Formats: sequence, structure tokens, C-alpha cells
Amino acid sequence: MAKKVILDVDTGSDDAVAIIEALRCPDLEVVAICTVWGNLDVPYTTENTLRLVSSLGRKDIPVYMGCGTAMVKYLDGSRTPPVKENQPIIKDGKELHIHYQELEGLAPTDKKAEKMDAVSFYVNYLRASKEKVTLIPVGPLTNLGEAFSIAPDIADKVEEIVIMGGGDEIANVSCCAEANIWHDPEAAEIVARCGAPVLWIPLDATHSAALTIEDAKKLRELGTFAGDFAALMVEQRVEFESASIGGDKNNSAIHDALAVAAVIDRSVLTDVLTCNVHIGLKGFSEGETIIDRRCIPDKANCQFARRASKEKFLSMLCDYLGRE
Amino acid sequence: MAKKIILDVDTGSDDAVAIMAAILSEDIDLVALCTVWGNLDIDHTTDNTLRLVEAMGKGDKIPVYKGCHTAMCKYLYDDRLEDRKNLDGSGARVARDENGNPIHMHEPELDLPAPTIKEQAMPATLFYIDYLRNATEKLTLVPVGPRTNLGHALRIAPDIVKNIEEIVIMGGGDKVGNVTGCAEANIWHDPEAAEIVANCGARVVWVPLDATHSACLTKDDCERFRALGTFAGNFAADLTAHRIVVHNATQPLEIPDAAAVHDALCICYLIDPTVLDDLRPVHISVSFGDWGDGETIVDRREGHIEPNGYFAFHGDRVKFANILCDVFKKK
Repeated sequence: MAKKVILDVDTGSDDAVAIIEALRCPDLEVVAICTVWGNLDVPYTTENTLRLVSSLGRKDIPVYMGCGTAMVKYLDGSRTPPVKENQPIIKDGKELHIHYQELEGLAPTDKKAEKMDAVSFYVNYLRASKEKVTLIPVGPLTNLGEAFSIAPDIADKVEEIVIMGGGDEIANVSCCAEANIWHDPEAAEIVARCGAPVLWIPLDATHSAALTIEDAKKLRELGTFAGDFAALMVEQRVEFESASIGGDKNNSAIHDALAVAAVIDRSVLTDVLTCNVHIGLKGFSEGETIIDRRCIPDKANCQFARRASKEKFLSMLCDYLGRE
Repeated sequence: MAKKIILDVDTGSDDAVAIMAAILSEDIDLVALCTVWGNLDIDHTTDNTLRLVEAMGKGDKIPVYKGCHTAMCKYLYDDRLEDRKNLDGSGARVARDENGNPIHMHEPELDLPAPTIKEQAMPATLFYIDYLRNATEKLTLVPVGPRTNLGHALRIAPDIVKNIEEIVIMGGGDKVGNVTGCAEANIWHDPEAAEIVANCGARVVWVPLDATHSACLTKDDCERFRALGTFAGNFAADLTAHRIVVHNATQPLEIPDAAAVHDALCICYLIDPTVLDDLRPVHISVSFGDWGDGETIVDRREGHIEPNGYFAFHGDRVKFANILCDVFKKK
């Protein structure tokens, strides 16, 4: 029987690949997609999500719009200001983005977000659900932080929370933080403590399974809309990252898609640590996923993926994205 | 026409007086009660609220929605945990009288029969969102405990502001504190939620300690309540008399043998706004962390500072007692 999942996305180029993968995989039943701020403002992440599910012929998937900013981080100006993550890079007179406000290659749609907000949806759906559901948040954790705060009992209905976020030996937005967690550290800490099983898919895992331009070609050769579109996302990301980080960076981690892959087939992760993780909330450690490394650490509260198989990840994408 | 309100309480002795006034006043239509943690833990504040609603004969008329059990984020930070010590098993803050005996401003259980009614299934935050989104007329919100329920609601669904007529807040203080040198308990319990509510865009009226301490009630007022010969008059007299004992021991006011009955002043403001006799537009910011945690800071810079609310610097205690007597005489 297909596994019930709810995706929580800030679409977003890598979110888009994750959504396609989830919708094309017969082993998953996507109950709904919730959107959140993060890579872009929430109206854009929502519109991109609506366009993508429409383009995939899945207008039946309900999309719930979620929160527009962090729970409390930006209230008093004492914390680091929002990163201008989506600042374009100019290369050869061309403006490059890692997440285009309107994802390329998607037609406008008449599909609208549901009337109910994402947090109300989580609480109502999970409370009423007779079976447990797997949650796959791949943006800032604001929606779930809110939901577990106002209705902590819903943790009993969660099979597992597979989070794209964090990093142990790799960071991106600060010296030690990954963007999703850094955007809303308090929400991440609430989710880490909620009581449901948590699996982290941090940068350590996603970078170890980064895709190249050659991999994008394989996706394009599938001859499907899904393959073409995912290839475009990978190419745009590689182009942006090599322009911003350096010419020899010829690949890009498709972070969010690895989280979905791990839900479909856990063996895509090749090194998973069982450990205790808390989130740094301020100072230099703001947004850091801190693993307790004392000789006698606090009780484990999660699993934390350190490596993944790039070959397995790519072959899964080729398998699912090759389906009409 | 009666003003529609939702009252958000952590019942609580002064909350109880406020609830009775809201139920009995003909100027107020109490749509629902939301409960929240604060004076006591959420199970006790909810149980006490249900007891009182039932004792007032409104068990089938006024729904009670159970709300949040802790602050939005405050207790995630290790260095802000200190204030959760010194609580008893019901979440009540324990003080001592001159003989060293424990005394509570808020007894864990109101002296009323255990409730037979239950709270609604929907959490308070979702009730706010659902009700306000579908409201056909604007509503007044009266949060008199920590702001947690509303802080979450405004984060999840900022659009609900369009259906808020006014938010009348019990909390904060300009030149008066209670739980710390500069902070009042409701704000200090969840400063982040208070700041979200303060800047949500709706009209906000602050009823801080400056107003509630100046509009205190005395032993004479208790006698007037009792002389009304009603359940509400008697119960308000009991609660106020108990508060006077605790005030004398832990927070003596300028007027001897008197107590602040904070939350009830918010309800009396809705009945007669002139009870707040020094209400001024100001800009309020709530401080987070360190010595200033939970302080409501009145912006005092010269020149034009855009106000974000109205702050009551004083209350009229004679008028306050008169309004309550008028309301509690109703059977």
C-alpha cells in the first residue's frame, strides 16, 4: 500500500524536483502539499507549487498556503536579518537565480490554494486521520512549529518527519547553518522536540548526492515533461552555483528531492547517525543543527543522514520521472 | 447593541471576576471563552473556566476553547528558563505570608463545583482563525492572560486582523512591574506573542498595571459586592478579599487593604471607556531577554513617533467599583 505523505515546500527549484518525484512515485500517496516562505515569499512558493502540480496533471492534489515569516525570529531586530538569498548573480550580462520567482517551463494555472491555511490543515487532518502520516518538510519549519505548538497531540499521528535541513560538516547561509533551519530556528527546535520520529536529511547527505550537467542530460533523455523540467532545474542550479562559488563547482545538490527519495527507499542513505540534535537559537550558532558529541551524550532524539548514494538517487529519479 | 467579544483567560481569580462581568453585562455579547496557560497550567485554567461558566448557568451557551500550554518560544532558550522554577504542581506561583505559609494569588481550583461540561474539540488558536475569517461583523478580543493563542493565530493567518474591531489587553506596565522589576506577568510569560499582537495592525488598547493598580478595589468594595445578595456579587467579594490578603503580603498597594482585579478592568472599559481616565496613544515595544524580558516599553523620544496603540496610564477606582456593582446586581 502506498505510504501517505504530506510535503511542505518553498518551491523553489529543488522543491520542484522533490514534488515531481513524490507525485510520480507509485509507492507514495501525496495527501496534500503545504507551502511556506523561505526560498521565495509565500505567494510565489505557492503559485509555483500550483503551477507545477497543474503541469503534472495533478490538479487533484490540494495545496494549502502556509506561513509568511518565521515564528519569532524577526520581531525585534536583534537577530541576523533575512538573507538576501535570492540575490541574482550577473554573468555574461545574464541575471542568474538559484530559485526563480516564477519557475521557468511552467504554464500559468487556474488552480488556487485551498481556503484553509496550512497549519489548520495539519491539525484538522492529522487529528481526524485513522492512520499515521509521514511529513516531509523541505523548507523552513514554520508551519509545523506552529501546528505542534497549538496541538501537540498530533505528534501521535505522525509516522515520521523527514526534514531537509541542517548540516554537520557542511553549511551554507552562515558559518554553521543551513538555510531552512536558519530561517526559523525556533520552529525547527519545536519540531525536533515534538516526540514523533525525526530523520534529518542535512547538507552532508545532499551534497554527497549532488547532480551534474551530465546527470541532467540523463533526465532529459527520459523524454518526459517531468524529465525535461527536472533537467532544467538541475542545469539552472549548476549554472548559478558555478557562477557564485567557482567555475570548478560543476554540480548541485538537489536537496529536497533526496528527502523524498529517503522516504521512498531508505537505502539511498548510506550513513545514518542516531544521535541527539538541538538547534542553536542565537549568536554564531543560530540555526546550527548541533549534534551532542559528549562522551556520554543526551538521549538520541533523531536520525541524522551523513551520506547518500548518488547513483541510487539518480536511478530513482530516472525511474520515476520517466513515467508519464 | 451589545459588543461581541471573545475573552481569552487564564482563570485565575481576577479572570473569574472579568468572566462574570462579561457574562452579566448587557453591553457585552460574550461569543466564546478561550483559555490559556499563565496564572496556572492550562488544565487548571480550563477547568476553572468551565466551573465558572457552568456556575453562571451558561454551560450550554458559551463555548470554551482550550488553548496553548506554554509560550510560543520563550522556554526554548536555556537562559530564559529561570522563571519556571518556584511553581507548585498546578503551575501556580507560590508566595509566602509573614508566617512563612504558602499563599496563592490564584488558587488552583476556584471554590465551585467540578464542571460537568467540557471544552470544545477545536484548539483556541484555530477557533480564532476559523471564527474571524468567517465573521460577518467585527469582533473585540480581550486577552487577559499570556498572548500565546493570539500570537499563533496572527502568525498563521495575519488576514484575520480585518475582522478585529479592537484588542483590549490586560498586561504590561509603564512605571509598575510585578514579576520582575519592569515586567508584568502576562507579557513576561510570552513576550514574543505580546509583541506580535501589539503590532498586528488592529486597534490595541493596553490596560497595564498603571491602570489596574490605581483602579484597585478595597474591603469596602467587597462589602458592597456582598450586599448585592447575588452569586456574582458574593463570589466577586470572596475573590477580591482573597486577593487583598495576598496583595498585602506580597504586593502592598498605595491604598492600604486593596487589591488590583486587573482583568475585570478590561471588561469595565468596554462597558464605560471613561473608567480609563488617562488613555493616550503611544508606541509600545515589548522587550525580549535579560533584565528587560517582557517589559512594555513606551517610546518616549521627542518628535513624532507613530503610535501603535493606546495605553492606560491610570484608572478611576470609584467608577470601576460602581460599574462592577451595577453589573453584579443582576441575578
